[in-house]
Amino acid sequence: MSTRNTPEVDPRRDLRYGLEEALDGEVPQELAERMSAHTADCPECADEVERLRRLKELVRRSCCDTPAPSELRDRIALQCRTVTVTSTDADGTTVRVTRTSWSS
Amino acid sequence: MSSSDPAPLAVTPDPAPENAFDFETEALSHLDALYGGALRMTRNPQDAEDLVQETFMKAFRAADRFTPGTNMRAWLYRIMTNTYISTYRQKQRRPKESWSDSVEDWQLAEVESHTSRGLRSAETEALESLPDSAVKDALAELREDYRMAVYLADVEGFAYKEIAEIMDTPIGTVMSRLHRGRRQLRDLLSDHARSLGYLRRAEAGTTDQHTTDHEAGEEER
Repeated sequence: MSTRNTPEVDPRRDLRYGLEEALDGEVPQELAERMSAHTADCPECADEVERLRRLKELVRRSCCDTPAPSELRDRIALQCRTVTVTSTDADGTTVRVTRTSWSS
Repeated sequence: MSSSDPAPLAVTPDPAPENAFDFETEALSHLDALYGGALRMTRNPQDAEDLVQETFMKAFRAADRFTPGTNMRAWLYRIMTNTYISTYRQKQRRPKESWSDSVEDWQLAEVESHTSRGLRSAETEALESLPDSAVKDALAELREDYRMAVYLADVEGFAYKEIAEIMDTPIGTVMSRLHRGRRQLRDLLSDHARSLGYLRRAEAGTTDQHTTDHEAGEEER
C-alpha cells in the first residue's frame, strides 16, 4: 500500500530520534534495544520516553468509558437483517451471498 | 467418581459449522469501539450515533468484500472515516481542514527540541491528575486529522500501517500527525492543568521552552 515502510535500521542513526515510534512499537527489535540502552544512560531521553508513555496512557484511560447506547446497538442489529434482505432484492445484477448469519 | 478422565467439557459441538464466520456478531463486537471513535470524530453524541449507524449499514452492504481473518475493526474504521469525511464534516460546517499535509522537517526539530528540555516530573504528574473530561476537551481542540491519528494509535492501538489505511494516507503522514498531535495535546493539557490549578505557573514555565507562539505572548501580560 504505502510507499514508505517502517524506519530501517541505520547503524549511524541518532538514537534520540524516533522515541515516539519506539513507544508505538514501530521500530525493529534490534533498534529498539539500542535505543533503550541509550535511554538508560540519557536522562533527557528517559524523561521524554516517560512523558510520552504517560501521555499515551492518559489518552487511552480517558477515552475508554463510553459504551454505545443500547438503542443504537438494537437499531444496528435490526438494520443488519434489513439491509441483508433489501440488498439481495435490489441488487438484481449480481447474486450476492451475504455472510450475515441469521439468528433464527 | 473414580474416573481419572477430565469431564468432557470441551466437546460442545459447533452449532453452525458451515457458518464459521459470523459477520454480524463480529461486526457488532466492535460497536463500542466504533462509537468511541465516532464521539471523538464528531464531538457530538447524536452525530456519533448517526455516523456509527451509517457506518454499519455500509459495512453490512459490503460484507462480501470483507476478507475474514483480516482486521475487521480497522476495516470498519476505514468505512467510518470515509463516511465522516464525505458527510458529517460538511454537516458540521467546519472549515475545510486539509488532511493532505506532507512530511516536513519535524523529525529534525524533534531531536533539537527535546534535548533542550529539562526534567519535568511536576508537569507529568500534574497531567495525570487531570480528569478524563479535561483530556477529552483537549483532544477535541486538536485538528481533526491529528486527533484521529492520536486516537487510533493510543486508544485503539492500531499500527501505523493500519492507521495509514484507515486515513488513506502515507505512513510518513501518519507519523507526522501523531507527532504534532501529541505535541499539541501536551501543550493543551498543560494549559488545562494550569487553569484547573493542578500546575503552578513556575512549574508550567519550563514546559514553555519549546512552545513558540500562542502561550508566550498572552500570558506574560
